[in-house]
Amino acid sequence: MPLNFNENIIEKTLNKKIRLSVILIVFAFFFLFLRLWYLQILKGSKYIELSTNNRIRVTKTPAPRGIIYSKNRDILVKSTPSFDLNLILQDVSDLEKTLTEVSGLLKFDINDLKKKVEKRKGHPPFEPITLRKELTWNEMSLVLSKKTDLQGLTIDVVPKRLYCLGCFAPHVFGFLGEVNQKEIQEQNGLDYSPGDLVGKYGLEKWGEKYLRGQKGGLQTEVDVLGNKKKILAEIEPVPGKNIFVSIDPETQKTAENLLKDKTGAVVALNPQNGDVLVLASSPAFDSNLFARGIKYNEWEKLIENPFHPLLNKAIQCQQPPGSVFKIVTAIAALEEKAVDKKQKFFCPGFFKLGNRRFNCWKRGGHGWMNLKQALVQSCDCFFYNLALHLDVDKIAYYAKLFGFGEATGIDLEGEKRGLVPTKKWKKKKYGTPWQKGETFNMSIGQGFLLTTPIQIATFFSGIATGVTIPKPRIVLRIEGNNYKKIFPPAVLKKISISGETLSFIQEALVLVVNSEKGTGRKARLNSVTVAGKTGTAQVISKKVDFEDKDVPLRFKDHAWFVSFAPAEQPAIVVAVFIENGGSGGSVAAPVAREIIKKYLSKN
Amino acid sequence: MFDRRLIINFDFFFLLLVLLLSFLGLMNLKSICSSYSAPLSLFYYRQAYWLLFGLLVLFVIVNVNYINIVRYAYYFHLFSLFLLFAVLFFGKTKFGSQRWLSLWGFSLQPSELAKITFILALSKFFSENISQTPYTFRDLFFPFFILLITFFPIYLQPDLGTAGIIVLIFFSMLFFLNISKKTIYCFFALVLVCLPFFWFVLKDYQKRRILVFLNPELDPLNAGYQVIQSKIAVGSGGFFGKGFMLGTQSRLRFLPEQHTDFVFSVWAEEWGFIGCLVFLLICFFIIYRSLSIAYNSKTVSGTFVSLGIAFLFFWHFLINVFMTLGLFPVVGVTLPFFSYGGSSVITFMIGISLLLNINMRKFK
Repeated sequence: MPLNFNENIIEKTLNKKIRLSVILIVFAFFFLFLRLWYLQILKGSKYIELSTNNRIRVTKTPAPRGIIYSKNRDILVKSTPSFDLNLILQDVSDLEKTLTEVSGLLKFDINDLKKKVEKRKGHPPFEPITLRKELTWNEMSLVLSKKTDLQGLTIDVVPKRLYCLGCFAPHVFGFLGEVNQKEIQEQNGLDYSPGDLVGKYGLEKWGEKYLRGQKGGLQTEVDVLGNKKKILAEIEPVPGKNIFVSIDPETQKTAENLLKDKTGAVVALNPQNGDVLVLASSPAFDSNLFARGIKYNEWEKLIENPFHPLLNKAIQCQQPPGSVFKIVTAIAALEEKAVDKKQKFFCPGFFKLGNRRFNCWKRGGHGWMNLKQALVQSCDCFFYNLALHLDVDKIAYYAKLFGFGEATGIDLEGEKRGLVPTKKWKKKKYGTPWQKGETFNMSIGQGFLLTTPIQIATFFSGIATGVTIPKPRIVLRIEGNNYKKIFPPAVLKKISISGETLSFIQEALVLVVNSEKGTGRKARLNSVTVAGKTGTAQVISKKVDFEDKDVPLRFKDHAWFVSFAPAEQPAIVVAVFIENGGSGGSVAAPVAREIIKKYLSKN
Repeated sequence: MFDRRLIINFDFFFLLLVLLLSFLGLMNLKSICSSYSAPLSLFYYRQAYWLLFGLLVLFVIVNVNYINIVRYAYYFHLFSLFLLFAVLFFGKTKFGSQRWLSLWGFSLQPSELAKITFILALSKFFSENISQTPYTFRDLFFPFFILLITFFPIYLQPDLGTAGIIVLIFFSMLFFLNISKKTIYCFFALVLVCLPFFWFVLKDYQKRRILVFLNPELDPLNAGYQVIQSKIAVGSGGFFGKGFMLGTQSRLRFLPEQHTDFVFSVWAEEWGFIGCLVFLLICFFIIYRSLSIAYNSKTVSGTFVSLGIAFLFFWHFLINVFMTLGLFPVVGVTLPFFSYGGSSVITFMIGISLLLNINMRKFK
């Protein structure tokens, strides 16, 4: 490899090129020299002036967040301007004096202001410090009238979220909160900086990437007082996109009023396309509390409330469905030919399996019952008789056919899946085999079985239409500048049971509400035929008969009622769940009736 | 056994020059750190440790004949490539790009190391395939292959600065080859034809990035603002500068990325035109010396390695200083021995050690 260079042409051309490159490099460095001469000597005094009191600022202009509309273009959530009082340290010559003046003028506590300034130590002096959020008009005019004397103070416009109807569907719309470190790092293509408000719950979170616009900004030159003198460059903010939701405001309001002072949830769907008409959870809260960051004591109040207002009970509360589930057991029995429609069983008020006694809710007994009567009067004994002939995995199979045990995929975060127990599941979870008695419990919707109100509503949509279970949808479409995204109705499950079974069930459900002995009598309406099913989920099994008033609240039964109307041409499905409310027929059914009445009266 | 000529030919003056530059860089970092509180103020110590470690590496490499190093150059580069691809899959993401590998508690930036092994690999190829007849496309297939396979993992991180340096070093080294005129014309024609085609393939946000890259005024709130503040810093230094630890632009945080990309602005602000002149002279002599080592090398491989390293320094100096003076778009290219960063310090120390190595063995 070593070459004898002195006689080599290669070496000569190489060396010639190296000499050439030295010349080129000298030129490059000379050019740098000239540039430095220009900046530091020729323009030096100009730049010294610019730097002694650096007056070029970059400020971000927040983008207005998208609006949330109802289907009929009523504004439900929007952004309004609010005004913040900011201080820019760099423009202040005498901090003490400025703060004293501000506190005197606006009656703010001076120590409070000092603490705010102190907290920002170590940040660049050109970054604004917010002294007070959301100035009132009065305060603002006071500041503006004294602006020339107040060095370094600015009033900045900040968009504020406004939930127009106040405490209205907070579990649907959700709320905003200050962006955290993790969200800043993930970015997701959105421009976050500390202090920004982002969707933390509900649609505000789900739709963050649509609702959030793109920040704009200004590069400005400011004068000694920090007033903008000249705009050097500007980028306009891009507003966020608007969301249209299926929620029917009037019906939602009716449902929320009915739920007041109760703990529970209401879900109403349009069974034809899955539109969520009502999604209410109680106790509720006012999303406006979060509009510019929630105050600590308000947050504490929400967190410490024993009835968990921040929990969206419509999709997150998992409870046994009680007698509502008898519909599934009945379908399983009919489809598996475990029972004949005419077959009768005798109900003495209890059922004995070995030496275990399973009670019917009616202690005196129902007497002789056929399947239809058992559904209408919700006779437990009849279903124990069916459970004797049905395998638990068969019941589970039909339950899953209707979407139990899996999330419905609604456009909200944190939905729970519920639980449909099987033999395999129990073996895995507890290591013990399935007991026959547990099938008994399951046949009447008790035991391990867990469902959410939204699941009950989608299940009933399937029963009502008899064709499909629609996927519940809240967001109908998203619109923005040159942007449109439509969310068409989607199918969650196809119903694959015989038409004969279905119409038998539907007839029974009409009778639950419309016959003298039906448990859902209180949901009856004169104007329209309502079909429904009551459910009462036991919280503890009662060995002795308590008088209702003797039972402590937390041990009272959960009340369910689920219904659709009009029975001939279902337009609405309503599922009502009242925690510790008592019996479904007396507590939940009237709520469903009022909601149906309200919705059908206007449509 | 030990050859006394190795000691005689050891270029102490060159090493002293490098140490002087490192010392000035360290001082500059101290000035930057002094305006920060705890974790950030520690870079300066860490940089000192890296420099010491770099010197250790230097003395080890100097003792291994560079001919043996070049012999295994392909394997070294293969190892670099392995690390580059590892970064794409397991790397740490900071500020939206994936550049760092976590090894034994250290953050390693393989793209830095890759620059050296890239130069070594090209030098091996050029020295083994040198001939009197001009190179044609077919002869250059392998070097282009090395370029592409090195360029893409770095480009995908994305680290446009380093990817650009790789390309610049490649063409700087090609300049010293005897390439047939026809091949050169064909190449330029090909590039011209391909350019508009690439524009079509790019996505909107990529196009925008390139436009901002070419013209920072399009992004006045970020890159444009940085350049303005950097120019104010440099310009306000005047003839004598504001003095050590007295630069207002840096102390008040108007300068972005002061400790990495914009270190030179701080230097220029505090030491003025005089300080910049000293800096430029030291840099020029380092590059000039590298070229003279290339000139005097007794092997073709030594010449090419020295040339590659000379241009590695040249492009780093030039682009970084151009950027801070507002003559070039803002890209992440470090200033050798001034910018903070362990991987960067070690890389440049290895470069220096190879130069010393080649110089020591020029009489063999």
